[in-house]
Amino acid sequence: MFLEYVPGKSPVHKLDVRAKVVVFICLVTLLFLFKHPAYNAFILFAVAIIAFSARLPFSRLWGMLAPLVPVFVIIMIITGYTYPASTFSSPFARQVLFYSWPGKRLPVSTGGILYGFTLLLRIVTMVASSSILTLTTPLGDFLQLLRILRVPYEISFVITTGIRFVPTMEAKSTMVLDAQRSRGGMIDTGGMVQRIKAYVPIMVPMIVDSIRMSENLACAMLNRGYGATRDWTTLQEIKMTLGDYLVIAAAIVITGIAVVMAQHGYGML
Amino acid sequence: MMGVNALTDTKAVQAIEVDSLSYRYPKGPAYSLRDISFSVDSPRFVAIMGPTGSGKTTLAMTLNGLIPQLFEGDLAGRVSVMGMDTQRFRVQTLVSKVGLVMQDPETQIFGITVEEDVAFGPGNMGLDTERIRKRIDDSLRIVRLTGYEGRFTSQLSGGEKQRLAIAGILAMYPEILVLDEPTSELDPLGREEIYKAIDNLQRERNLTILAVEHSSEDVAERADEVIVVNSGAIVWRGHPRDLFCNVPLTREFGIRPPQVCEFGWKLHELGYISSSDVPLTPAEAGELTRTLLKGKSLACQGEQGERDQLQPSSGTRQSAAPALQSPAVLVEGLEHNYGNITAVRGVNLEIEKGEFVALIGQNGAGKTTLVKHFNNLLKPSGGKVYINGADTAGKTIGSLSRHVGYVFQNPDHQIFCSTVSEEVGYGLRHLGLSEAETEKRVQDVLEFVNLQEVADRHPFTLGKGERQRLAVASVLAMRPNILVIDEPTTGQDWIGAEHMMGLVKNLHESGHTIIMITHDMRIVAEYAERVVVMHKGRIVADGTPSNVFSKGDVLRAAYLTPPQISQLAAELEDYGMPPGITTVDEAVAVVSRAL
Repeated sequence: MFLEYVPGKSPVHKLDVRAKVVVFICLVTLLFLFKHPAYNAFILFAVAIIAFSARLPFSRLWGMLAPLVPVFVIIMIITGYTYPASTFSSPFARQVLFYSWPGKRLPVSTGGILYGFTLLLRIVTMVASSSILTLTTPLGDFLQLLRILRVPYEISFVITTGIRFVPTMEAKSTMVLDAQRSRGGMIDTGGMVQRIKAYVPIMVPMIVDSIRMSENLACAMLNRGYGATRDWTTLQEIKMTLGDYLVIAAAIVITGIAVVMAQHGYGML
Repeated sequence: MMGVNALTDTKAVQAIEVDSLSYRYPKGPAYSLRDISFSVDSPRFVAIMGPTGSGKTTLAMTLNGLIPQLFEGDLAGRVSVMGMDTQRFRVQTLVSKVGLVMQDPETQIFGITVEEDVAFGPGNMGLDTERIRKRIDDSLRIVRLTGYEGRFTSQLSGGEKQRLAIAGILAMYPEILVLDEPTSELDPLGREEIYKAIDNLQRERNLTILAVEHSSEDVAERADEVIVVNSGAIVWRGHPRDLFCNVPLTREFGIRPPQVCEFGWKLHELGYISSSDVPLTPAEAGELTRTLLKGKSLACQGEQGERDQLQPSSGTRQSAAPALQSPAVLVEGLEHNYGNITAVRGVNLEIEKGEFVALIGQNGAGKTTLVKHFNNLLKPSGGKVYINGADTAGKTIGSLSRHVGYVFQNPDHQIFCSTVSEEVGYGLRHLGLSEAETEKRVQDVLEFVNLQEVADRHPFTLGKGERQRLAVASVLAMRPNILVIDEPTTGQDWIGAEHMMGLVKNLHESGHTIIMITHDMRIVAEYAERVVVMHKGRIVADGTPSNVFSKGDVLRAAYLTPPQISQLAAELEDYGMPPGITTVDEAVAVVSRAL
């Protein structure tokens, strides 16, 4: 599952969830400050170092990114064509790389391709940094963050229950799929329309079962005293350390410097 | 005066007091509970028994106020727990007095990790962290899950989930615990663990326990009292001995008596013992038989030789069968890995056409993994599987469905059409048969499972038993000659189980090869011709029921318990009881011959 927490003892794991969220927000801000791919590549490099120090399973990160590769290619092509040279300020970016149609039609600008690169780097960096955040932080910490932000208990309850039921629903859908295939159902053959139609035998039992489950869940919640008091207790309380404060300060300072740099024209195309 | 009177009148508060309770669900066609009155003074173990649909679950839900607070409807009468009226106090308040554990543990687990889940209840009550910690430790210890605190709940086995569900309720420190069929979906080891937890509880917390339970053998050993419910009314109430030892009475209520009671009752009918001597537990049965046999011997050599000849061991079976016909199923060196976990290893198995094989073993032993290779739901990591002589490699599940039918445990995981006959025809539509041929096959199959009358009804308007027959029919429509049937009687009452097994027996008699996964050893003894025992991904025993059930050590190692009557026979071995007794009739015949 993509949100699964990977236990570890790295500095990244030990960082308080609030510090991690601040760093994450700063990283995203940095990504959108600069249009030049070199700057974004540098940010990605920094994120890669963090991921490395957290000893995260890189194969898993790649597994998440691999399906996006065709999207990346499409983005590059589209930006290459749709950003005419005139939208860029630097002379280098304004160059027309080539024309894909005789008679100087459908130009592809250097800036377009470069900006495509930037978009690509932004996506990769965001996927990577959000994965680092979720893979190194237990769900309980996020829920406490919501609590500190005064988000109602109901909402964090829905989030936990939702995540808790992902494996259950996966197991159920495998069971239904196996049952239908075993009696000669053809689930994964045929054209688009046929495939969609073929999913009716999966969806109907799943929906019926979900309705039954939600009714049981309502009973079980009451059986456990859900709603007995307005306040509720969690097992762990999160605490900020000096290190956390330093990290937050550093992230804010770096972002501040970057904003000034961007205003002075650094990292533009 | 009034005050003094009130004081002297105050008896100890009854744990549970139900007074002329009647209830009908909103839009319910009839009353689910009718004029129920009973009281329980703490602490005792009370079993609630009765056929499916008799109102046991409904009754359980009235005890903590879920009915009528969550489920509205017409309620008359009064229910109070520890002196609190369930209509006056909120469910959330009542839960600290009465805890209800429902049937399906899956929907009762809220935490991602075990300790988070147990903390959910006490956390809702607003206790401080320290007290919650103590309650987690305490509750997990009782259900024997200490050390599981940080585990992900999604990775627990069915039995562990059920115990966690109980721990979650125990953490609320209730004074009464209501358990709705706590063991019906579990393997024998899982059941045993649940009952150990319940025994712990009674010892340590002095709780009042009410359990809805189908297994009379578990009830007989523990309950102080049995309440029998039928069609929403209490039809009998008393000590388990007075119920189970009166076998005709249990039959009348649709409850299956423990095997030793059946054994004793038959001896009573033959005039050897009085009805008051019918044993309730295996220990009593052993004592009774020993007293009866004092000075006599059961040993009759000729008889035993005859038995051995009648029931050859599996070793001789395979060599004796000439290889004229290819076997229905042939498995060679099968191995299956899920990631880096090996679920099945080095399995060799040959099943001849027309055999009735029971596959037994605890959950996780590899039974389901093995049979899923028969129709390619799983592909071997190593080894080969041949169906009717043909290698399954490269075949589609669809094409194998004409040879191997796989009936899953829960019919609701496959029903999706709006009529019964459409449902049966689903697989056929992919075979390219003519409209007339499809029609005919559907008719034939519905007739076989006796559903022709309801062919045009909506499947969800059918009862559980009928839906299960419909699931069988939808598999049979493909005309497979091999049927894999996964836990056909799990979660059913005796009557439902008997009906289902009657259908399976018919299928076997009409020439189908049956491979049945089950946890019910009595069903194995009564129906199967051959038993294959799996443990940790391997086959550890293979033979006739009487052969396998006399291997006590192998079964114990695989966490299985032979039927009560086989245990009794093993206990009486020194009296010359021949090994391998698997049914009550056999045991009665042997004993009465000696008398």
